[in-house]
Amino acid sequence: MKYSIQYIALVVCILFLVSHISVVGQDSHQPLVSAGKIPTEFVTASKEKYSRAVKQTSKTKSNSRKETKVRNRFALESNFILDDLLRGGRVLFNDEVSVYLGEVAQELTRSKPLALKDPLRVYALRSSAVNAFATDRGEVFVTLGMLAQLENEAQLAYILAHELAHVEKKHALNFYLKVDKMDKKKGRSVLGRSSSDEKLLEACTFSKEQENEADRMGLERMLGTRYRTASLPTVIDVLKYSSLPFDDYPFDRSLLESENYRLPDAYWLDQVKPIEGEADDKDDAHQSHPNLKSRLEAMKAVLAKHTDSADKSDHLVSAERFLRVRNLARNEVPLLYLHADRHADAVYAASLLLRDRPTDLGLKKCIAKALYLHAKFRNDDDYTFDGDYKEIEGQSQQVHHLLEKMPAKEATVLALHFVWRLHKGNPDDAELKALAEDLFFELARTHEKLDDFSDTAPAVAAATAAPDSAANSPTLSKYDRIRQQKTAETVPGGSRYWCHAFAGQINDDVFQKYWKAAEERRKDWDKAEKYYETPKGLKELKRERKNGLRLGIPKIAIVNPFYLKLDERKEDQAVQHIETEDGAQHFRDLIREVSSISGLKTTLLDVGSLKETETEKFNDIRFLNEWFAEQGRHYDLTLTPGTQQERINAIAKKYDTDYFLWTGVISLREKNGSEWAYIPLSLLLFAPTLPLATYMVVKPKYEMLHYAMLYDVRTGRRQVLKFETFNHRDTDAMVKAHLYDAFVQIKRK
Amino acid sequence: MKHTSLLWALLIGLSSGLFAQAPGYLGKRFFVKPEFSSMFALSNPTAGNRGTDTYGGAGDRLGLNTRFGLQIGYALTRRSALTVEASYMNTGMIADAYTPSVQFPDGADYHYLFYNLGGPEVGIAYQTYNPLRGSIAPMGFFTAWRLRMAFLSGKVIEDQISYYNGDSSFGPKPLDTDASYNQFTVGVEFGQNIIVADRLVLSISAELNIPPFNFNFEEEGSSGSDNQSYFDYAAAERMRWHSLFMFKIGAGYLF
Repeated sequence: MKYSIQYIALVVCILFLVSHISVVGQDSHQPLVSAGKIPTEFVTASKEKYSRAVKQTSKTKSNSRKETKVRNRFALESNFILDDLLRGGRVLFNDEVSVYLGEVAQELTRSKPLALKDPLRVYALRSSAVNAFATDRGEVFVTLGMLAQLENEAQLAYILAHELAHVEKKHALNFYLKVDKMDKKKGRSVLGRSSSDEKLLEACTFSKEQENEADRMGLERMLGTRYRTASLPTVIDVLKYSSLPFDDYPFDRSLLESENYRLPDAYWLDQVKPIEGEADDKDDAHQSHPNLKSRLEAMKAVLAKHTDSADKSDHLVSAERFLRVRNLARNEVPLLYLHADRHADAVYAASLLLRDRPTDLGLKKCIAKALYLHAKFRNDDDYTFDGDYKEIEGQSQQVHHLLEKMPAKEATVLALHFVWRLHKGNPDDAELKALAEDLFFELARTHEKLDDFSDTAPAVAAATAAPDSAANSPTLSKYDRIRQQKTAETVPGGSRYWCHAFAGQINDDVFQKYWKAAEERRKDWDKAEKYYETPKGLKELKRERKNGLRLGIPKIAIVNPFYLKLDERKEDQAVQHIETEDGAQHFRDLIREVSSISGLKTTLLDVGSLKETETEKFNDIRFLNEWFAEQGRHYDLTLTPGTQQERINAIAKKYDTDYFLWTGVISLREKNGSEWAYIPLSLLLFAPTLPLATYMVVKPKYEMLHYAMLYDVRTGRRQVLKFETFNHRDTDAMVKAHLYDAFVQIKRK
Repeated sequence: MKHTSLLWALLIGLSSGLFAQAPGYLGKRFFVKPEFSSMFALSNPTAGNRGTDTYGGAGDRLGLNTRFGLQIGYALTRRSALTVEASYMNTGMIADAYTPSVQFPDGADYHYLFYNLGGPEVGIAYQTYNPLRGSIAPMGFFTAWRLRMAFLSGKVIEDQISYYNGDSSFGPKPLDTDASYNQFTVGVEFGQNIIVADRLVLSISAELNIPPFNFNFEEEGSSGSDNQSYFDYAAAERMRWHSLFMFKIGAGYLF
């Protein structure tokens, strides 16, 4: 008996391990998330950082009063803007990539420490752009787009070394001081060149000097490490070809095709545009960075005097970890493209990754979502396609060309064909189901009947396309010839090639079920559209607008309440940073107060009020905000699942509500305009109104915008409860009254 | 009490029947507001001051037209409220009158009369709140349309008599005037209710009231038999200027 228990336990363990391993083996890439404790600088108020910086500036006696003022302004703007970036969710912390970046930076500072007040922080930035940048506060950001392009750790180290030089030399502050000085110069015209153009040139020249200095210092730092420098000139290649995807392979068109669905050759280019990259000797007069040729020459000049010793290496931290981190970044890139509505880039980048992992469902879903979104946009009447495939170099041009050339109707079929196959293979996947349902709806909108489609395989082109002589044979009747012509249209490559996209599926019960549901939805849609054009419908809309809604929702979560204070009178610094931060805190307090008064149960998810241990919440807010941003971009489309819908569903489950509210206030102090005219007018017309006229002139003018948008995050269904501008100051009473109004509309049945 | 209950029932019935929404500041739809209205009387008399009419040597002080009131309101919708109001006003009025001379039946004694004209008023107003200013009844900028009925009575404060033939030995005959006057006005008010604390509202407004039915009064008669119409004319004239334009301030309580 004892033996059998051990045996069972062993079997259970093995089963668990096997199942776990198999799950890991099948797991797709999961979006990178922040981990560990939230760094202090993410949760410290910007105001506090600013006042520290001001104190620091005041200690430096050598600064003139004017310069101190400019420095303080820089501290104000940079602290608040950078903190917005930190809290926005695009910056990752304590994740595998950021940790690795930090370790590479440590290698760089090991022999030559940085003279910084605060420790250096290196973060990965979730952006597909190929870029890295640094702040004077001691932060360095490297985009995932940049990491995805690199060949080795030494290249990364050089980029970081370059950025460390920017930090050390406080380039951002110096640039700000320089630009401020230039702005204060009296405008004059020299040799017909406008003053603003002169200023731009001067600013660019200064910026290029800083970049050259950072290149030089970065290289010096690299020479002081054990990184191999021989391959450093290849960093210039990274910059030169940064507009290309992270790799360049011919696009595998079979990904989008099937036996019965072949895309016509006309959609494929015979030859893609050759890769040129950025011109080496580009005119950099109006650029912030020197051209590639001059940077490469400067680098080579230094490296020529230097020989790598035998102990130097391309990887000091770990070659394996570099590849793993690069792989993580590359896997993230299609998602970032998708999030930015760069559909063709997302399809191509995912197709590159599928070369190594041909069965990866996550990558296929990324393609499915890109095709889906593309079809949705193409079917939207208000949408204009602004892509230009002719500008694209390399193999990704094929996908750009395909999506650009394909008409809206065919784009729907292309997307549904891809999604349907995937959905059939993964019927339990909720995201694929949602995509399929919505694409059927698009199909029902673009093709009124399924008769457009054939359930049989297409005829073989060679067999059906009769030679001209046979087609013109006198033995064929008029109808035979028409029939032949029709058949020829539907063969692969024919103008109606798409009609066989669902061959063998059309009479399938599941397919029919989806189609019928979509048809019903389309009918309801049309009916509703017509209804709201009738007097009765218009009256109902008016009544709804007047009376507000009755949603009957007892619990919601409020995501990142937004508050912004603007002062139009201060043209250069319209954003009132300190007032904005204080106002945001106060706005949160008002939300809590009104929530309690209204009896609506609310959970406040706000980065500004998180504790250091609430990283999970931080990540949730990031995903919710990204989802909301997507919904905002796709506002005119019908309901669209988000690109990370599964995660959003999990978040909804966690907070025990499907309803998430995005609300905010923008407060504007307006510039007084032509009100002075009231005074002469009053004197002219009726003198006793002079006090009133004077009041009108001196009275401060305000405007506030309040919005409250409630989303059912599982379906994307939205209710705009508030989106109103008022000629009024954002007093507590105003804000509370409107919050209450929104909350009651949500709560009451 | 019965009437009050009926009124509330009517108000509540109206609101829930016609509109179903979230008016009221943080759900508080009822409000009670003591109010004070005033405006310079300019040349007109007031309760304790005969204005610039210096007949008999009095007057010359700049007086104020005043009204004290209590308003009870209910926010019907987000953009409207209904109020019922009760107020009291008291002002001064100069009127002339003639009474037959006691000594000379063909002659008449002349009376220069300074009245206190006052009494209760009741009104009903419909307030609309300006959505462009973010107002939600009963908070924010509003326009009120008002019907008001004043039940006034005059009390002679001073009666300076010029006797026929200058002989005052027999005294005057009594005035045969019914010194009461009812006036109906329609008004419009522009103002703002400012929330100053949780339930407290400060209200500032300007109102314009016009009597629609007695615009074309002619000054009639110069004998004792027309004293009534003369009184009515003087009262209407005085009331027209008293209530024409007033600034109003009030402090309200929301519940």
